[in-house]
Parts: sequence; structure tokens; C-alpha cells
Amino acid sequence: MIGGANTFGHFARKLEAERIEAASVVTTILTDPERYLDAQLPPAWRTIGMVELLCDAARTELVRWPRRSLHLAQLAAAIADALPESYPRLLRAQAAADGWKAISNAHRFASRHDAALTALDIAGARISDEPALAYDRAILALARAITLREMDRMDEALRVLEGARETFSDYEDVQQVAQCDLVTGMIHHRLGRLADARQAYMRVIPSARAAGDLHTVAAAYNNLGRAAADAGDMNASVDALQQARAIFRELDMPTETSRATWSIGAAQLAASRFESAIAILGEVRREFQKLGMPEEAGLAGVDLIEALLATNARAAARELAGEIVDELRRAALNERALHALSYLRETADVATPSAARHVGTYLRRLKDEPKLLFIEPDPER
Amino acid sequence: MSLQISPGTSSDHELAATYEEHYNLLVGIAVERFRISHTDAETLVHEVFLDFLIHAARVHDRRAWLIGAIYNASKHHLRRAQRVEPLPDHGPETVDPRYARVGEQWPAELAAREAFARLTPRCQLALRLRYIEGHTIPSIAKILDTTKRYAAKLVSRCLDLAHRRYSGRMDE
Repeated sequence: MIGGANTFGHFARKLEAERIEAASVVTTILTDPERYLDAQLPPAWRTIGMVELLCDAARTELVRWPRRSLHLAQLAAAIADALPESYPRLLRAQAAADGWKAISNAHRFASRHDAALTALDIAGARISDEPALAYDRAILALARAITLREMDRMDEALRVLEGARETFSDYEDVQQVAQCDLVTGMIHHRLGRLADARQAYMRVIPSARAAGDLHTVAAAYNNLGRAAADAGDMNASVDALQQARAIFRELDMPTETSRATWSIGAAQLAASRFESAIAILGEVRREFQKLGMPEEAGLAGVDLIEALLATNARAAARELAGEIVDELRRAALNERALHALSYLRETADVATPSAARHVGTYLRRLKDEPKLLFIEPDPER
Repeated sequence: MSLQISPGTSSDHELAATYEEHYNLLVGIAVERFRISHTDAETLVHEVFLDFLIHAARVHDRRAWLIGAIYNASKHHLRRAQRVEPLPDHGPETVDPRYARVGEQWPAELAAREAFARLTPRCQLALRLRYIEGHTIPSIAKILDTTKRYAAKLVSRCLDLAHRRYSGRMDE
């Protein structure tokens, strides 16, 4: 057996040095990751530090540039699979699982869910026989549950989550337990089990707060607010959403802050507090425009049209629909979206608030189903 | 864009102190609670510490994390032990037939590994998926996010490159 505090200290120092060395290399790779997939790997790059930093970089690039994230993750996985045997087998296996998980994330972000699951299978196979890697297996299980949820395979996702949560509880890792509860809440929410969803979100808040993970606390409040709104509990909804917004603001996350404000406006609209909804949604729309998010500005605008129609402010509704059509045309958005919004502009003099809601629902679905045809709402409704 | 090392990284002294502080406790848990032999318990604890090294920066409660880790590792070890047939105490000492021609096999294997290591990362991924993990071309195309046609071409080109590198090594 290789062991003892000295060996452990040796690996700790080695890893630290590798991370420092890898930082400058990965910065260079970031300029054009794909090029490095087709160049020979310098032996000095075959380190765990490189794998870790490439996986971190892949995670950072996910939102901005998913394709680049995939290339970084592929490079990480290739290096991990080629690590020299001077590393203990367990560390090589762990690094490979990390690299393949990064590949899975990149696929999931681009909605290639089957590929994401296959990459997770590969990651899992690397560490399945390592007794000491239960924590890493739980991390993979959480990633699998998130992917399954996005694929609408809710029962499987819940089963997988249960196992991951149990392992994280064994390790007393409250942050990861909170992540599991958050995903559990989202699954119940999607299935319409609102009481279960609200309970799960409530569980997240103290755990994530204890772990100092304010972003997850805010996400839980945000989801809690939406679940409460769906359950018709508007006061609880607005309270939770205001908490979420305050934390997002504290974290200096303007996009999330605006999204939380949008949810507050939507809750006011659902509670028929139209004047308040009009003020909030108007503000949200301006924020999204400032942030350069035309799609969100357009969708918030459709909610605003619903509120305007409810107060019989038809001229304002028609004018706003026209504005949104122009904005979305400039942003070169899906033609079908323009068609639905044009319908709203043309019928503003007679349309009911539910027609605006119908258009809003269609536009939200269009994000996932870009070929979905717009069907005009039944005028009797 | 420059890359920052995560700020929570622990110093090696601190990590070595964590090791010293918890080593006996963890071995004790594996031996006494799970009836694992002392040698196996030491190996498990060492492996738990190696994994801890990777995650240390994100661990809030080290003691709890390590105890959770040895519980899970011990359970996995026992499950695995149940699946393994022990060698007979006085069994026949026949040589594993795979090692009969070890003198010829090892140089060839080493040359193959070296040739493989000199391929590009994309080639290494493609060949490993195809020939070590047994994925089909459509599956490789899906994993690498490319077309089936390109995946087939990639595998064939990389295999050819590997052959050439291998032949080069063997001729030296």
C-alpha cells in the first residue's frame, strides 16, 4: 500500500503545483480550444491540474459558448484518459469521470440529451468499481437526474436523485443536498405536485444558507414564489420572489434580478392586481432592453399587454404589440413568433386578456419547439 | 481572459494535518464497524484521502465528509468482496496463459501505448470509444457531436495514423 501523511502531502503539493502551472496553459487554450484537439498533446499537459482547470473552463463557457465548452471538455477527457501511470489508479479514474461529466454538461446545455446520458454512462463506468468514489458517483447521479428531468423522464430522475441525496447526506454535504432538493422541487413542480414542490424548495433554503450558497437560496426562493403563484397563493408568491430578487441584487446578478421582478409582475397579474402588474412589467421590460435581451423583453411585453387589455387600455396594448414586433424583427427572431405577435397587434381592439396569455404561452413553447405552428385562440374564450 | 485558481485551496500542511488527525479514526471504523481486514482498511482510507484531496476546497466539514466517505467505501468494498471468489489456499500454481509470451507482448504493448499517446486528443477519444469501449460509429458521432460520415472517416484516419506511428516505433 502506498500511504502515510508524507505520500498524501506529496500528492497535495503536486496537485497544487499542477493547478498553478495549468492556469496559464488553459488561458492560452481558451483562445481556440478546437485547435488543440487536433494538435499533439505535450506530455507536460498530462496532469490532473490540467484536467481540473479545463473542466472549470468548460463550465464557465457553458452559457456563453456551448460549442467551445464541448471542445474544452473533450480536451479534458482526452488528457484524463491519457494520464501517466505515476498517478494512483483512483485519481486517474476520478479525473476521467470529471472530464466525461464536463462533456455531458456541454451536450445537455445544447439539448443533446441522449449524448449527455451516454457521456454520463462513460463517466460512471470509469469509477463504478472504486469503493472510495461514492461521492463522485453521487455527483454523476445528480447530473443524470438533471438531464432526465429535462427529458421529462421524471420518475427516473426522482429515483436517481434519492440515491444521490442519501450519499450527500452521509457526507453531510449540505450544499449538494440542497442541490438535490432544488431539482426534486423542480420535478414536483413540473408534475403539478405543488405542495411537494413547495416543501422541497423550503428544505433548500436553510441548507443552502448554511453552506453559504446564496445563489441556490435565491433560486429556491424564486422557484418557491412561482410554485406559490401556481397554487394561487399570491401573497406567499410575492414574498418569496421579493426575497429572491433581494439576494440576486446582492449577488450583482442583473439578469436574474430582472427575471425575479418579472415573476413578481406575473404574480400580480395572476392576482388581478393590474395597476401594480403594469408598473412592474413595464419596468422589467425596460431592464431587459437595457441588458440586451430582446426575447425576454418581448415576452415580458406580452404579459404587459395582457394587463393592459384587462384594464381596457387597448390603444396602449396595440402600440406595445407593434413595438415588440419591430424589436423582434430587428433581433431576427423566429418568424412564427412575429406572426403570433402581429395577430395580437391586429386584434388589440377586440382581444381579451386570455388572447394575450395564449400568445405568451405559445411564445414560451416556441423556445423548445421552434417548428410549432401558431393557432389563433378561440374567439369565444 | 485569464484563469483564476479557486480561492478555497488548502495548504498541503493543513491537508497533511487532516490526514494525521483522522487516519486512525477512519481505519478504526472500517475494521471495527465493517469487519474489514486492517490492510484493506488502510488501503481504503488512503483512497478516501486521495479523493478528499480533489474535493477538499469545497468541503465544509472535513470530519463529517471523511467519515461519510469511509462508511460508503467500506460498504462498497464489502459488496465487491462478496462477488469475488477467493483463490484456493493450496491451488495449482499454473501460470496465467496470457503471460506465456510476455517477452514478445510487452515491447509491442509499450510501443502501441506510445504510438497512441502521440496521436491528437481527438484521435485518442475516437479510437478509445471505438476500440476500447466498443461504441458504434453512430454513437461516436453523437458523443463527439458530428456526422456519422465524419466519425467513420475520423476513426479510419486515426487508426491509420496509429498504425503508422506503431510501425515506426517497432522499426526503431
